[in-house]
Amino acid sequence: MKINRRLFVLGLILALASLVPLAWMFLIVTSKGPPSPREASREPAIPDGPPIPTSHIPTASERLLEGYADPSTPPIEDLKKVQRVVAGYFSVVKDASRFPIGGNADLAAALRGENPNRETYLPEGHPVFSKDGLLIDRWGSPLVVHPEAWTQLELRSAGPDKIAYTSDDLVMKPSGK
Amino acid sequence: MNRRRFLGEASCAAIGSTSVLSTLLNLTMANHAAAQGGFGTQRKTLVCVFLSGGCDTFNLLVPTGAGYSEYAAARSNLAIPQAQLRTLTGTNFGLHPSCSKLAEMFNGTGSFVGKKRVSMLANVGTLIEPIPSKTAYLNGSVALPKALFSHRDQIEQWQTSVPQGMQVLSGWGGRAADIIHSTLNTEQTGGFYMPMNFSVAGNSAFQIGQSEGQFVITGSGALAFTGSTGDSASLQAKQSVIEQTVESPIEQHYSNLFQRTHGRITANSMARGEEFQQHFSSPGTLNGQDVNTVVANAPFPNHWISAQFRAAVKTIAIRQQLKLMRQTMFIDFGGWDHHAELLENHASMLAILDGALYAFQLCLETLGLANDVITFTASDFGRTLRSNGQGTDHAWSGNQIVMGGPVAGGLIRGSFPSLVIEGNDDVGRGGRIFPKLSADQYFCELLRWFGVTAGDMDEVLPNIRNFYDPYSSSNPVGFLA
Repeated sequence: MKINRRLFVLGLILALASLVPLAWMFLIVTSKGPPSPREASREPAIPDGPPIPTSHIPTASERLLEGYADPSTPPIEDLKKVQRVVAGYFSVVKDASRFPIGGNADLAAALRGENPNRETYLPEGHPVFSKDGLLIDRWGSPLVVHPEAWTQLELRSAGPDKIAYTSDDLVMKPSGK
Repeated sequence: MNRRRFLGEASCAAIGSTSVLSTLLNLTMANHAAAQGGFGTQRKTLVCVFLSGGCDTFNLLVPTGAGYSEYAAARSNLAIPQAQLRTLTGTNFGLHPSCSKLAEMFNGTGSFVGKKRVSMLANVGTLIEPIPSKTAYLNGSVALPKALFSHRDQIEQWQTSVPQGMQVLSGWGGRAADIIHSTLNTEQTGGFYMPMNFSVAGNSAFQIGQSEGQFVITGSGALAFTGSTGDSASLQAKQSVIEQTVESPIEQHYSNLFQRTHGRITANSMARGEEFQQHFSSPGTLNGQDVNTVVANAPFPNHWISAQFRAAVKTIAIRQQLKLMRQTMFIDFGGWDHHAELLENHASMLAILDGALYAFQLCLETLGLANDVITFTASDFGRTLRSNGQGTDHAWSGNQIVMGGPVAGGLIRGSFPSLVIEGNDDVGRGGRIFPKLSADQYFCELLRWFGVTAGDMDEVLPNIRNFYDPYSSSNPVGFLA
């Protein structure tokens, strides 16, 4: 009887403990509040993809990508934003090497949920994706995702001429430079 | 005895017993090798030519005849016209148009009449275990190499041959040296020590072992501690000061075994560098030919990579003076990461590789070293079959070149894959071919020739038994005669 009571108490503690991360995540999401009027009124620079439903709660990666492709920001900022998303992805998905990233399509799929955690970082239809599901720059060209090592991705935008590996390319090294 | 003293003494005892055990182990291995009696007096060298960046080898070895249409469809704007391919006699394949000399060595024509020195390996890559089908890959029912498709990880895996990753990095050439150096390089006695692993391309994982390392040289020979070498009084004085600086504090001040060992290693490397340089600068004659003249006259392309090949010839030529029955060489030719302008850049780089391999083999033939040296290529990965518009992206399996007198030339070994995009051999994303021949099988055949016994093969290639029984009487691939 005494053992059963102890088991019950232990089970209760475990159940409560398992709810803590969920509660914490909920608090983080709700504490952010709705997007600012400026953010809400901003036209997406990339017309591809359907609009995200207003009831949608943005993920942390979506928040990192807020202002992506905003013409009022320098284009390199877009790559910095994607790089932050990538850093977040690799810090959370510890065994990401099981879903190796060899290029844009792999990274895009991983962020949409094809990863060991089965977690969605960016939803289908997010403006950073083209119609065929690739990560694109503000000019609509697919980003060149170049894995130097499995967690170290060089990002390249083809730039205004939309041709990769030309002089107007924008490049973000894994080091952040 | 207090705890600290016990631990201290136990550590010393451990070091002492390790040394004794190593000696005993080496004696045992020597007896084992002598009992096998198969190594004789032949000196042997393995030369690794690493094509860093991921060479697009599906445009190096191309199917002809009925297979060409499949290739052309997959490669679209990157396809090489069939009429331009270099014929590989007796096969349904051709080489890239830039590889006329490799074709000559494959076919046994031109300067190599009657001497077929090149074979090709098809569809080889890093594997932990065989992949029976594309489905097995997709449903995750087989163990896969860690972090496929990335440069650094795949370079490391080709050089370690442990694609699941390692806690402490060591290369298969280094692990082979751990076993072979003390058992086969038995001419080194009386305190003479020269490492067996030479790199002309800086440090690489390939040649790092537990006890053996690599000796890094440049196209001009050994790296000098003083920054330059020479006999002038000032340089000798400089050298002397450096040596004293390194050696004297060790004996006088440091009781720590590891500090002392480190200092001795530093001093020894200086001595080894001098010893090596002396022979490298004056390699003398072989087979009645002056080594320096043969190297200078060889048709090496006008490219920086040729300096590495020239240094390799000379390092092999002085193996007797270095008292080496076995040695490995590491050459790195980088720049194959052709995401753009593949057709132009690939063609020019393959022409350089073609010319360098040809000149290197010519030197070995002239100096009477051809039967003692096997040169083999490796690369990060193969590339996607599908064009990204201007180039190709990171993939997995590829094709490799094996060259030398012991090679059963004129063969294409391995199983050439289907090149249909999204076909049975493509695991996705535009033509990523999965390997049917493992890098372990490839290396095992080289190591058997080199002198690693069946009993030691697991130590050098931990995954080999997933593909091949090292005690088998036949070679794992069959590219050696």
